[in-house]
Amino acid sequence: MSGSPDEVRVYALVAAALIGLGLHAVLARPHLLQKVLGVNVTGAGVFLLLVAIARRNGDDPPDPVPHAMVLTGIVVAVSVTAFAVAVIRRYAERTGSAELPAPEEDPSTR
Amino acid sequence: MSVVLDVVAGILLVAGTGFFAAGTLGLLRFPDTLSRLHALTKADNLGLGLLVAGLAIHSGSAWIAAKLVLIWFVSLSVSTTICHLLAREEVRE
Amino acid sequence: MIDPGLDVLVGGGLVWLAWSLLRDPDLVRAAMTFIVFGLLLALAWVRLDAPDIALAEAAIGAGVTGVIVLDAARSLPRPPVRAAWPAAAPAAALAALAGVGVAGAIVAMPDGSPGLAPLVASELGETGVDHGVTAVLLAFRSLDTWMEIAVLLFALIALGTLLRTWAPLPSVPREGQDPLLSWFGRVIAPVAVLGAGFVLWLGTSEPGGAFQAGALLGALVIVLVLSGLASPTGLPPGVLRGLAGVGAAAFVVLAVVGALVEGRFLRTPPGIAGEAIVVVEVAIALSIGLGLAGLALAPRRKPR
Repeated sequence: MSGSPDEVRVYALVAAALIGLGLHAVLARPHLLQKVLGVNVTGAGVFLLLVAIARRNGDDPPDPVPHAMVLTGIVVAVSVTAFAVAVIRRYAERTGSAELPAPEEDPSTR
Repeated sequence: MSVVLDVVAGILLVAGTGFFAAGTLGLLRFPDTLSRLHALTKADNLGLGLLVAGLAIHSGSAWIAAKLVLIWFVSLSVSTTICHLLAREEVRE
Repeated sequence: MIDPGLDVLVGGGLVWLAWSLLRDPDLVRAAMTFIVFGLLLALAWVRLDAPDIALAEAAIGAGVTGVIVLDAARSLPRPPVRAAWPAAAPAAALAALAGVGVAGAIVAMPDGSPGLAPLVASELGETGVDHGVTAVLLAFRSLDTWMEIAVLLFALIALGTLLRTWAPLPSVPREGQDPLLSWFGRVIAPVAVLGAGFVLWLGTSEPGGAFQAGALLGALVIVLVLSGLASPTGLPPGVLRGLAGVGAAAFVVLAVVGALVEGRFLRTPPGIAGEAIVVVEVAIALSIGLGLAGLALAPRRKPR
């Protein structure tokens, strides 16, 4: 398996798409859990980007430093997800809904 | 001799893939959860067994073959348990 | 193996799954799609020559994260989920701009720079391990790994605080809950423990290591609790938290010992570097395993 520029570019472009999709979900989706999923998708995109860049050695083994960063990142991502979900559960318990009100309806934006 | 082994491995791999495809077809086309589970677990388990057999022959190493068989056993246990749990939930509805 | 068509298929699948799961009004289905997305991502890691990440992604990224999100999707109140805010058009534009920017940067990159790989390869001999990723994680950038264990612990503590009054899900009674699940828990326990030990040991010279072993242990703990073979409140509370903290403690010991013996923080004495790393990896694997299981099972704990 060589790090051919085409293979690397395919995954790097996929990474760009995932980052965009995830960012949109965080900003625009009303349900809090959808936002959490969006953060995870964006994270996946960033990891793909790092590993794709690590693969640019050609025929040499890939650069292990971005791999280590991604491994660390995966564990941090799951910790953040668990924490965010706990906050969402408490919010839903308090307010009865896990969705943020739409900007037009939100009284705090008056 | 090794050519024969490669051909046998190839046949097993293709057959395994065929079973996986059949299982997925069942997943997409069957009307309800229970029949989908039936098609999926039966076909996928057999497909995985064939794949493992083909890969074990192709690898030519007893150690790798043993590890593959272990993977197959674990996968079999997991998919059986999950199929049972899903079916149980479905029946309870 | 040099088949760009396969990469296009995997990459296209990833984008389609992500798009599909983020706009799904059924959150349980979205959570399940997310698990599938994680598994396909593990395949992408294999294609990109990153087997360590593939193992961790399948177990932690798809597995544990999937459990957390699926559990939440089933437990949260479920009014019909509304579509994206129409007033969010600027958000869509911003996201598109970010995507295009990243894509542009990628296309403009010059080809083939070696990165830090030669540096890692040249320093590998002194670390006592033979595998590049393990060396980076536990020797060159051990501070990052230490902080990551700390993040896991902080999340666990935060969960304990936030969920203190959360109504418990029906607690799983003794083993009679489901016979097949109990059987599975009993059969898989020795396999998982041996597998974790094997993967950890393998990590010194081949893909593997503490993270992947920890993920296996965490998955085992989750299965044992869900099958009723072990209760989350059975053990005295201090024991589990103490074990989860063992990873961070190991790093503290390493840091202090390193400082005293070698004069530098977190520096392993070169003679026993390999053995020291394995010991620290065992501690990390325990921490990660119990930490991950704690993150996933926290909502099921009975409130005080």
